[in-house]
Amino acid sequence: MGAEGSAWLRAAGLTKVYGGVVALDSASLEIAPGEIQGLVGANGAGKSTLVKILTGIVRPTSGRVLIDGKPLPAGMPKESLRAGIVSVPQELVVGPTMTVAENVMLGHEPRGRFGLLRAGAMRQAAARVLESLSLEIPVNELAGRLPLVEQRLVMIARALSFRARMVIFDEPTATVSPAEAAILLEAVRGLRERGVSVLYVSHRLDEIEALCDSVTVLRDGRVVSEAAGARSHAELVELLAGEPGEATRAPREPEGGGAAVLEIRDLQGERLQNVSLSVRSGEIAGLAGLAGSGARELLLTVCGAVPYRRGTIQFDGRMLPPGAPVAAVAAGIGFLPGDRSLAAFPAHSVRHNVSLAALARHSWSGFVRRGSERSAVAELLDRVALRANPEALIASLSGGNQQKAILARWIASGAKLLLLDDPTAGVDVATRPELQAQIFALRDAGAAVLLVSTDIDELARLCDRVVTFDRGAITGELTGAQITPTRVLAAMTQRAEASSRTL
Amino acid sequence: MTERRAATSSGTPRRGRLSARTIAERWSLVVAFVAAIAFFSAARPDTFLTLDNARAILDDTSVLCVLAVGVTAVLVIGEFDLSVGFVLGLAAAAGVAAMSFRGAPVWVGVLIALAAGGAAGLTNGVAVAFVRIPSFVATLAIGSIAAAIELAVTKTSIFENIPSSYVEIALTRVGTIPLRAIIAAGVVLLFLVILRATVFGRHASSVGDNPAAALLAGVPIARVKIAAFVLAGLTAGLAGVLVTSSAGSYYPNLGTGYLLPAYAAAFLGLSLGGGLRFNVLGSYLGVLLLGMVTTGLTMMNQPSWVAALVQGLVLIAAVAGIAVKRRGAIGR
Repeated sequence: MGAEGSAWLRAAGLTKVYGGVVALDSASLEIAPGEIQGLVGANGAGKSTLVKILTGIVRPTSGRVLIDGKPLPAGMPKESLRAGIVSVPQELVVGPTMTVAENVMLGHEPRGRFGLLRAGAMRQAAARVLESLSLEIPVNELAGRLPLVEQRLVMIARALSFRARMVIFDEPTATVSPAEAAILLEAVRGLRERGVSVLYVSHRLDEIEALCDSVTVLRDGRVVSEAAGARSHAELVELLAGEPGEATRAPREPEGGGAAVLEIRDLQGERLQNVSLSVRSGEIAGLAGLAGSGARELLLTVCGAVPYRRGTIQFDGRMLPPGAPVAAVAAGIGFLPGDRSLAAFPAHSVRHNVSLAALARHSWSGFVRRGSERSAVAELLDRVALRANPEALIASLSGGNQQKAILARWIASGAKLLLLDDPTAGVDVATRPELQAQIFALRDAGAAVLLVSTDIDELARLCDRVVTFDRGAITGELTGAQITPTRVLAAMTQRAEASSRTL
Repeated sequence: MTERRAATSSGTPRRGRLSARTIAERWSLVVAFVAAIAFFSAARPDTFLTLDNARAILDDTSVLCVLAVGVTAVLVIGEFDLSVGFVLGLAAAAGVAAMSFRGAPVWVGVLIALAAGGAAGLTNGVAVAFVRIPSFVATLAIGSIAAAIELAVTKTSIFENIPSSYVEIALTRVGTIPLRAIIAAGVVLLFLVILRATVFGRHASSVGDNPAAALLAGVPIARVKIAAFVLAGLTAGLAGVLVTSSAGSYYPNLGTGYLLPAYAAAFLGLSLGGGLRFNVLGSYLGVLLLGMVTTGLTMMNQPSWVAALVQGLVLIAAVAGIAVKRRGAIGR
């Protein structure tokens, strides 16, 4: 397995530059038949770019991929598929309203005369693939009706139906229970038995440790550790976090902060299990966890985007009803997502984007007073150090400047609690510290801040306290000197023992 | 995305992106408007560029104008109201029926027409905002029901015993300007203020631009949507009054021809909002342009299908230009 020299796929010098930003910097990769290779790295480290180059979705700026010594045509998904490189996407299925057989065979359905579909042959072919994986899934069932884990298994069957030589997985266990995860991992090991190579992309370092024959680690677009034997969880954390040097932390108010403004008690929702958490004014509390862990879900529940079933959210002395963003904003909560499609109004001016949540302050019996609005917006833009014409479309600003404008929106509304969801995602390196300085300024002015981030360094740098999540429950808390990138990463990638026992 | 960010992260104050091309696109409707005037004036110098003709066009387009402005309010929130033609008919029938069956005074007849339109709009709004039926389907269904009620009430007959003071509405002139044109202009002005200068208007265009972001920014989406549909219903009611007072009678299915041109005008007007936002002024100009083309071609003795053809081509040209531009804005 993975013996030297037996690699059938060799990639070397893969570089991808997006408009001046180097996403991948001469990365290399080798994989042998029946090898399970892990691919790890923080968000933005270049994992998905590498995967996209292999699957032909992205054409590399330079470098090439050799299949059995022959170059793979770059940027051509069909060629990659023909070479046997198939990816199982994070999304569940191709089509939930199509049958299992249709999902498995989509794109290479057996055709008869006049290009008509041979439904019987298609079902048989799908059944053969499922059988070879010893899966008992009825081919005529609608894929959307299957349990989540079976939907993923259907996707694996789909990959095999293409005569795959390498299957690429992207976080396959992100949203399933530990028991289901075990089934999936077993299926992945089954691929190894068949001599199929696996490239396993995951943030779950314990899974990588348990499953992979070798691991490639990416950081800032570079391969920092070539695939060479299995790695332990601790080794991986060290490689991922980089230099052990402490992140520069902003000086923080002496322990204490203000009074608790947000009291969450026994919150239960679709992805949350009995979460209780209290946040004080003047503190930045980090919520750390992998996709599907409940960290982000908690944030979305507090801002009302996602409803909860049981428990209470008390904010500033008021109870927040489930799934009511209007009530949350009125109570003084502001939501700043990294995904600007959830916050920006691209067809509108910066002014409109900034003042939207505070229009009541600039209006008189329903009419907006332009003058008062304009001067307030000018002041706010100054405060967040955003030099932009207030009348320009917000879409014409850089990502970082758009984030500043949205932050200004919540300063304008006088928000007492800020919910930050990966606030610096896609923000250029120069603007990132500016944005972080703004967040500190808000905290020091007495706001409470809840921060979810996929950027470990950011969590470590910004937070006064980090609460870790797994499987919808709180698994631990780091405070003060405990908050280092390494420890945060270790805590959030460790699967919760307690919760896996109960499930 | 990345390229765009890299290109604009200079940090200097920017005046949007006002390239010569953007300016040309934004003012294309005005250019087309002026070009149409020039063309028809040259082709029919004695009849087209006259005060009489201007008056006639303003009067003829008043119904469409009122309706297009209401439709614009719904387009602004990112929805469609396909019921306006039917609602126009229902409101017209309700108002006329009250006057000719019950002997209601004219002002009551007008109020009843407006109330019928508003009620239909409210139904549309509730179906879309609370029941969450896609507006395309909901308004089509409710429009069909409105048409059914209209025909059931009127028993598919024509009423001509309308009070003469009602018919006067269409005949009155203020100075030399027809009252209907003034009403239309007044509605345009009113909607201009509502959509541009009020908190509701700001909320409405936010909902239309990005509903998810509007929700998370605390905009009361359901209320905003319902209000927009009620506004559209009210304009359909008013349009019904303008139609019947000018015709001097009620006749079945009198609203069916207005739906398409109202949307055509609103889409023509989109270019005035930079191809990004529906706007009242653009819709108004769109209506006037369509009216001018129809009148001008009639004066040139072209058969009526030519006007329909030209309107269709103009609309496709306008919307295709916008579609190309949007692709540019969204594609990375």
